[in-house]
Amino acid sequence: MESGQTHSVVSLRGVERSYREGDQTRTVLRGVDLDIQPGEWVALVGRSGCGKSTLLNLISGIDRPDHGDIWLDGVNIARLSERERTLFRRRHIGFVYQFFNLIPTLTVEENLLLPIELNRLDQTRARKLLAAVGLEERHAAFPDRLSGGEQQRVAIARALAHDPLLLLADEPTGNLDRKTGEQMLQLMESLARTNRRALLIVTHSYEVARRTDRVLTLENGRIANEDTVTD
Amino acid sequence: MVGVVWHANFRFLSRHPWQIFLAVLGVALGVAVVVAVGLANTSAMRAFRLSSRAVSGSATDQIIGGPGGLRERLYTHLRVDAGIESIVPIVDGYVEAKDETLHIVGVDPLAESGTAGDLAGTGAGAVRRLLTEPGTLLLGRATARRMGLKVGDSLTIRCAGRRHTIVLAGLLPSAGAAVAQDGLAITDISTAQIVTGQIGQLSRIDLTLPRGATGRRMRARIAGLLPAGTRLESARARTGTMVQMTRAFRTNLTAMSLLALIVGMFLIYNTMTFAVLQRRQLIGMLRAMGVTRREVFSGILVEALFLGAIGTTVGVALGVALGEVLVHLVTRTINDLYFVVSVTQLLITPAPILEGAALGIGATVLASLTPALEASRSTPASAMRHSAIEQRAHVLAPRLAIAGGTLAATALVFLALPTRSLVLGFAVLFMVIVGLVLIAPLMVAWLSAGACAVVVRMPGRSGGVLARFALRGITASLSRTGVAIAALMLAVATTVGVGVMIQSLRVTVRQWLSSTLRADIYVSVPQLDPGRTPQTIDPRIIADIRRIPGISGITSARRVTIETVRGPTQIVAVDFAPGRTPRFRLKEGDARTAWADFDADRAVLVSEPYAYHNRTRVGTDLRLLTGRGYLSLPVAGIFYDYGSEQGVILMHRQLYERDFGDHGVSSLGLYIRPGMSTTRVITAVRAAAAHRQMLIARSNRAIRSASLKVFDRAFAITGVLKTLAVVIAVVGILNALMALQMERSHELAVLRAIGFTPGQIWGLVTAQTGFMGFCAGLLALPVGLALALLLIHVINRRAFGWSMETVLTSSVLIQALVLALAAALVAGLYPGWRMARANPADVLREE
Repeated sequence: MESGQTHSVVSLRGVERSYREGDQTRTVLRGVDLDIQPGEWVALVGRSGCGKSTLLNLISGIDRPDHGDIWLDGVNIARLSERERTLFRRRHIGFVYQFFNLIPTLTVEENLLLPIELNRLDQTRARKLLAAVGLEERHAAFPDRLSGGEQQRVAIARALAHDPLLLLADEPTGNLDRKTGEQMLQLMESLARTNRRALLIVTHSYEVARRTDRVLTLENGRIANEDTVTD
Repeated sequence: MVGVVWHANFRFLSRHPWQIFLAVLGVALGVAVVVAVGLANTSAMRAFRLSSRAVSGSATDQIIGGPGGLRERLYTHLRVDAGIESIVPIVDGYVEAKDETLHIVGVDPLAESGTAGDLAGTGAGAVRRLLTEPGTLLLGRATARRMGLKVGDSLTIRCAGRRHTIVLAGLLPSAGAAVAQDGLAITDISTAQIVTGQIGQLSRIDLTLPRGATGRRMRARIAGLLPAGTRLESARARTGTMVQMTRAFRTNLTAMSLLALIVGMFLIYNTMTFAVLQRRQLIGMLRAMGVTRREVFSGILVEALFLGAIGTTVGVALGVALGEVLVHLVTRTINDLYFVVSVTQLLITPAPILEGAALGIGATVLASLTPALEASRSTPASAMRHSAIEQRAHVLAPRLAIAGGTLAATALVFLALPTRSLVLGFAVLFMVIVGLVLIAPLMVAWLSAGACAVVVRMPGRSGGVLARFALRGITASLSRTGVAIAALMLAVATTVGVGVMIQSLRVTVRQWLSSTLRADIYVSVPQLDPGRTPQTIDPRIIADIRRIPGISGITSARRVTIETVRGPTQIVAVDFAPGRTPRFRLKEGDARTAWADFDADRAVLVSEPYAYHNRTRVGTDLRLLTGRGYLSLPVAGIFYDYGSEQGVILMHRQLYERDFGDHGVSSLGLYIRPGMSTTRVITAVRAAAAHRQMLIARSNRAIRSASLKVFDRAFAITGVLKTLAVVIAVVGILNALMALQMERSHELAVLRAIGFTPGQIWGLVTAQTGFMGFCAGLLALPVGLALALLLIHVINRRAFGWSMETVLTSSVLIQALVLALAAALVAGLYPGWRMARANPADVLREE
């Protein structure tokens, strides 16, 4: 662990990522620097295709940067092996997606049990979290029997089931109506913010961004703008 | 359908090359097996017919006699006394030379042309040498080249244990099919008589008679001139009868090849279903834009035809290559069990290729009908939903199971019909197979649900959710997993069914050998053609053997093949060693009275296949044409016998010698005194025969082991076909798994995002494939047993007339489970590796 990285949950320095597209190389991120403090909520905005999801994948360790360092809770995951990154992600990261990404062949409760079993935690957490998101009675239902809002509530519960250090959300309200989206944010606030879990949320919505502590704008592969939300 | 829509469909296919490859491979392998078996069968039979025609030329009729053939003077009588000119004397037999089996045919070069004696085209010098120099022969060019012989070279040939040196006088004219001359050696009559030990005898007399009323009049006249024990027969009918002998063997092979094709059909069905499922969005969009159902239907069918055509073309090429291997196995079995046929090359005839092509394309279209209908019937909205197709699969599964059950039950009703039709037997077999296969998807759904319920109740947390994920994945994609499991189940069930049948027959044959082979040593004359009467042992050698110290008793036997209206029939005339009661197990008849009547020459016994094919019962009178006219004797008992599928008539040697006038002995069974060394007696027997005749003297154990070796060789080809069916099924499972994992790549990427390691993903895929293999193995057991029972009690009975006990050992069943599991796991290796290696970021980005 290097000095200077201890206070941030997330710390990125000079992160670069490019992709090959046929004969051409498309650079998506060109030296991103970023710090997120414990319990801090940060919104990431930018035009479609500007690299927001790529940044989320790099922070979660799903993808690896071409250059630069990514410190998570004092560990430089850019230097870890594939397996080490996976195990780190398993323990410390929670993911919420726009399209919920629930496993259709598992029941609501079993979807929650996935991270719980992986981390060898107490299985009763699943029912407690379902009660917290108001879906305890639907524990045996399969995802395709739930509404969009209900599915996203399950996805949020699954992302928090193993009490991660950092919650990453990729347009979690993008596929929901405004009222349901609002309910989701409230739910995340009640479950994550109160436990001082850090959140990095990708969004196009001003309403969503307004609820975070800081809004970062990604432009031309760099953090171009940083606003503190003051209400 | 408009061009752009075609483009959309074909581009979809071009983006899934592995899927196309596996589908084409499935069709190709299925077609290859059918074509290969067809070509091998046709080649062997055509070679036999051509060589028969090469020997008998344009002969329309043949005069044949008893076990010893015809007396030479009959020919002189017919030609000189009766003035019948269009007749040719023939002496033939099989000899061994330079590791080749040659069909030696003695002819009269001066006889009428157009028959076997027609040597037109052969050099005058060669014919003159044949006529004037004893111990000369003519060979086909290819045979001479293969044996490394030039005109003027001498070679040593062996026949009936005796050696002869013979000179190659010339080559046969190269006109006509080379295959007809393959292995054919022409000599003059006297040389053939010396070499084959038929001094003063002819094998037959060939006749070329005109058609119509003149021919009929001549036939009637000649028949009137023939002595007792000889018969006039149509040449074509006789060749047909020989070919007919192998019908059951060839039908069995064809049925096995069709099984491989059925397994291949599952693969096509799976591919086409997957192709439809993958394109549900495209089809939905096309339907929304106004593409009609008919256009969607025809589009899928044309695709299937395209794949079928490529697969069939590749399959025909593969089939020809595989046929080269199979033709040797088929020929070897025919040579072991029926008659000598020499096939040095595969004859590529259009019929098997056209049959294979029609079956390949037909199977492809048939297997694609359901997916094409599924695609065309869906509404634009439902076509976009994967769940709609899977829901239909779940609704369809119980209906298919009911239909399958009904089909299997109907098949069993057919069994009750009073018929012995082998084709109907196979129809029943296929109906039962298809019926049980239709039940498979429902069973898979039940097994998965049951396993899931068990996993849910399992204590502890390790892998619980993972196991449920793997199991539910199988049920969730039942339209494909069900079909893939059914294909593997069918292939494994085939190995169980055929395995149990072979094991049952092997155990039965082993028991039969140990109960019938009672002597300590068996002595016989080497025989090259199982369909002919073996040569006899020199009586002087028999006399010397009787004087060997340590021999307590000798059973002597004469095995002859006689011609009857139903084709060649074997008579075994036995004189049992005094005090050695025969141990033939009787199927019908009272053993005590049967053997008493046998000993008193009052009756004969017949083998089970003879009784089955000739509808003979105990008490039936048999009429046999002997040298003294017709002999009529009742059947006193029917005994179990697995040595000949045509059947055997067992009579006392005394009776045989009296009525057939043949005093030869073709084999001896020696009983040795206790404490005497078998090896020492065998050495003494060989010494007695030395320099006079080559005899085979084998211990009881050695002859049993040799018999079982021939048995195993006969089933070698079945093993090849069985393996091919499993290979096709593995390709099917691989195809289904690739499709399944590709469809679930998004879910697997989510799991990776949650924190599953690549190893865990691989484990998940492996668990899923393992369970699919387990389901296939488990379901294959009852289906395989049903198959075995049908093969043993219906197919074998109708084909060969054998009855046997069903021998079931746990090893066959365990092997089936292991095979199914291993096949599925091998098929799961690549998809598992691919999925574990997939970058979740790429998959999630595609979202």
